[in-house]
Amino acid sequence: MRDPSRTLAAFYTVDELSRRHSPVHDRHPLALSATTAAFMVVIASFGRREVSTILPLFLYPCLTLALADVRPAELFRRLASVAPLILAIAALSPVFETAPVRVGPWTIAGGWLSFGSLVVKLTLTVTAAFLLVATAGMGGVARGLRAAGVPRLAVVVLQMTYRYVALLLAEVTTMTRAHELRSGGRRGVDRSVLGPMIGGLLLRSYDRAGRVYDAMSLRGFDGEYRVGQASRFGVPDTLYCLAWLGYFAIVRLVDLAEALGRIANRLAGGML
Amino acid sequence: MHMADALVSPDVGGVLWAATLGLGAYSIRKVTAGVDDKKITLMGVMAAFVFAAQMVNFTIPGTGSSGHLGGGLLLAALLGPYAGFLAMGSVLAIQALCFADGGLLAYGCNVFNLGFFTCFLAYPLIYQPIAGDGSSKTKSFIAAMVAAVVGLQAGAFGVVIETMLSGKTELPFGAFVALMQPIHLAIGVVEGFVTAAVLAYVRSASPELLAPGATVAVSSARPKALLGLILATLVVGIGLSWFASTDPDGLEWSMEKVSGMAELEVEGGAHETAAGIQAVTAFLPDYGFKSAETEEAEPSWPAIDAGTSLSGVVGGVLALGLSALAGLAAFGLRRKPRPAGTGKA
Repeated sequence: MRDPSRTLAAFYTVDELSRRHSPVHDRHPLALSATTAAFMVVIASFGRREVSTILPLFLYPCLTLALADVRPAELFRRLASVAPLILAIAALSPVFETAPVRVGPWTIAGGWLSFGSLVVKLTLTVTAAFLLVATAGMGGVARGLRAAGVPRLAVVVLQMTYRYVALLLAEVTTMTRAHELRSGGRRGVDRSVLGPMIGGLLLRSYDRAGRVYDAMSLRGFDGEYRVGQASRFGVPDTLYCLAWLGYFAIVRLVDLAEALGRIANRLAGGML
Repeated sequence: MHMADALVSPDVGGVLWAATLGLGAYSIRKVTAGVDDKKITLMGVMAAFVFAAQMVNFTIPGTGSSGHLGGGLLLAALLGPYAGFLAMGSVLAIQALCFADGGLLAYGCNVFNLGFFTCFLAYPLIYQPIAGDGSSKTKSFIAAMVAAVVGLQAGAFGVVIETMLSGKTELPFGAFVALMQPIHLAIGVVEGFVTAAVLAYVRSASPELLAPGATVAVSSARPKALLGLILATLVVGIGLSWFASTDPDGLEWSMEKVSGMAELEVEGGAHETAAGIQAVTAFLPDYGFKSAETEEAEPSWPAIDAGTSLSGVVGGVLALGLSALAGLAAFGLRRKPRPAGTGKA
């Protein structure tokens, strides 16, 4: 994503989403972070050619999207921006993995299973990361990091970065638009103005950092970035974590897709 | 060059997370020794600057394509390697969380590839010795160019090694290297040019920002400690990879030498029962997760691998459909009209 105005719009969308209230938004950030981390590890643990066994994990993003009232359109935009590179690597799998594999009644090149597996994993991992920040918010992620023992300095720098990304993105949007309007529709910045353009932004950012610090000092900044009263990790948070972690463990240890298929076959009178 | 979670295995992701946490803790210790609250603000704003400046696309003459600022090297030049590394970690965290640019499990890999190599290899070992005090424009330009290229080449090679070790794709090592390195050589040259142009402008407009001592803890960078850190990271990484490798470990190797078998087979009720329980409960058998048979046996043409049964295919589609239905049901329940005044802000 290299268009500053679109990036800024996406940034504001995530920030706005994270300020809502829902059964998911109201969970403790540590519960949301731990669930996301477990989800990521479980997805990554599946083998190179596993596809159907991973599919029951779609329950997590589907339910979270619905409960958190997040429209899938924003998620699809994220996916579309990162998918091409991974798909390019995944698309090479059928070229290099030609050994045949049986999938139901069909025989295909093994690489297609690797391709499918990568696509499924990409969709799930991008979705989970998006849902974490769209529900916990960056403030929540920072509280989760502090609760997990990450040092104050690293977390404060992360929060400062997040806060100033929007401001500087807005400035870059204005700069690039001004440049476009004066350059006869030519895309990209010429090398002769690149140094002054980015260097000028850097110097302004540097000055701004000084002004920000002065303003924060006057308001009592002591190295701690406070974001309000931290909520307690309560029973609903424990239950939320246990429920999802339990489900992930079941999906990892039991082939739910195979079991569902057998049940469907039995119901269909052995027609499959 | 940001790696996605889809390409990373838990053990590779875990090792690189551990290495990143170790480097981060070391950097924090170095930075806190000579930092005031003002520098914390500066680190945050500079990290945000790099993120925003990457949106300015630079026309590559004669190609019709564009490049942009890398970031790690510039942050190291402005803040010093330790503070630069921490700021780069922040940039990558925001990119991963807000824009899906790089995965969360792969975060350690990305910080290592884009932060470690630029801040701890390219900057103190290449840029600083060549550029010196920055009085020579030519030397500064060459230093930025070489450091950017080396940093990016090392990072691209890191991507190849991490992807190969993760085993998520069967791309041949040679083909992957031949694909990644030349592309990143070109990108490195562009990034080097942009970095050199920005540093040259800053040096002429505001030279005090790049003066020795202006950065956080640059002057206290100790090559011996850094070398030790690199070696320790490599030892830990290689050591953990050894434990996770499919080759026999030291104990198994010794047993094989002694008994002719990698694992002793013991008959008996207790052992069989324990093995049965372990087979069901083992979440990480042999430092890996329980995986399908297809992963174990490498099929060779024309033998056909029994990849997935029809039940699996049908069940997978059903699972997907049921997940969507569950989501729709939950969405419907949430959207039920509520009495006035109960909605939250």
